[in-house]
Amino acid sequence: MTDKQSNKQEGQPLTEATFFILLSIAQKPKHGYAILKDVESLSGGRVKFSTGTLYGAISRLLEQEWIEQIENDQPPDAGRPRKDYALTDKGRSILNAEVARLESVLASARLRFGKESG
Amino acid sequence: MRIESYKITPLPNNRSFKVSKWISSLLIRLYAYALWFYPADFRVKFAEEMLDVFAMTLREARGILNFSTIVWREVASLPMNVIQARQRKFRMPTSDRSVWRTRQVTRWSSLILSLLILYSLINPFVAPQTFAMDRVRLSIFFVLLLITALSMLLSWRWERLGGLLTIASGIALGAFLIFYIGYFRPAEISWIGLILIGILWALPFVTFGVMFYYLSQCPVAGVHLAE
Repeated sequence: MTDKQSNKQEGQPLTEATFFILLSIAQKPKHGYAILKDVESLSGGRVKFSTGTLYGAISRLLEQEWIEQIENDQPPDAGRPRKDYALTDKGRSILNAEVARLESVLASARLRFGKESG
Repeated sequence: MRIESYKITPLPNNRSFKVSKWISSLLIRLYAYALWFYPADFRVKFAEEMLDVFAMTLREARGILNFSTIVWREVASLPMNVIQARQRKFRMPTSDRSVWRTRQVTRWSSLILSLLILYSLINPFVAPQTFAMDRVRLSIFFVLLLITALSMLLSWRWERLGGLLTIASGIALGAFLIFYIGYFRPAEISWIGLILIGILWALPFVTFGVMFYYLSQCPVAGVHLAE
């Protein structure tokens, strides 16, 4: 899948790709491959990034300062130092706002379905 | 990172699915070349990581179908990813954008000038009898002109070195013309006109040289390492 650039303004609904990337690194910083696998797992296999799509999204999120690159202390694979990506305060607040928005949407839907079934 | 220097980590044999190491290495190599479609600064930042992730994804493939899907996903998404990366480049901060534009204008206009010079060297614009008369002296002029053209071409890859060479060869060219015309054709032109001719000949090359040197000092100049 390709990452649609719908986040023209902060606070607008995030794309699924952006949401899952932010969610993936919400608890602890992760490197590219771990994010790729985690997003697949979080979305139940629905969202599968290509490497290019993942790094396109990472590049954009770095520019927007929603995530930041940090050095990994773990011993590197294949002799190359690995870079991790972590959520910035700005990114965290955007993720929290998006989760709140989704909860509100879900609550509305539940309310409607609840009334209809009741 | 130079993509050619990327070391391919051997893929371990997987009992359930054994893909030829040769095929995997070839695909990773092809993917490395596909990364050339991305903007240079993007490659500098992410190419190495992308190759690592792609190699790891291939290594983890379960079955030929999964392997093919991974490869297809990369191929299918490549054009859109490249377009998006290039679109983002146009939305970069004004200072970076102006440096990028200056670099492009300098590069392409110097390329046109270099090609014109090289063309003129193949088909000398001076009258054949003049060239025959002053063959030795004018050959110095043509050699200087050739060095100037080559220096400008060199600046595409090594901005600082190429820029300095272009400045030096441009000044040498102007100085040679002042000396040549002043010494061998003293009656034909005044000293002011002579100096003016020298400056006019040196000016475009010195300008390009200074531009390349300036660009080599700019923050995004490191980009050329990936090109």
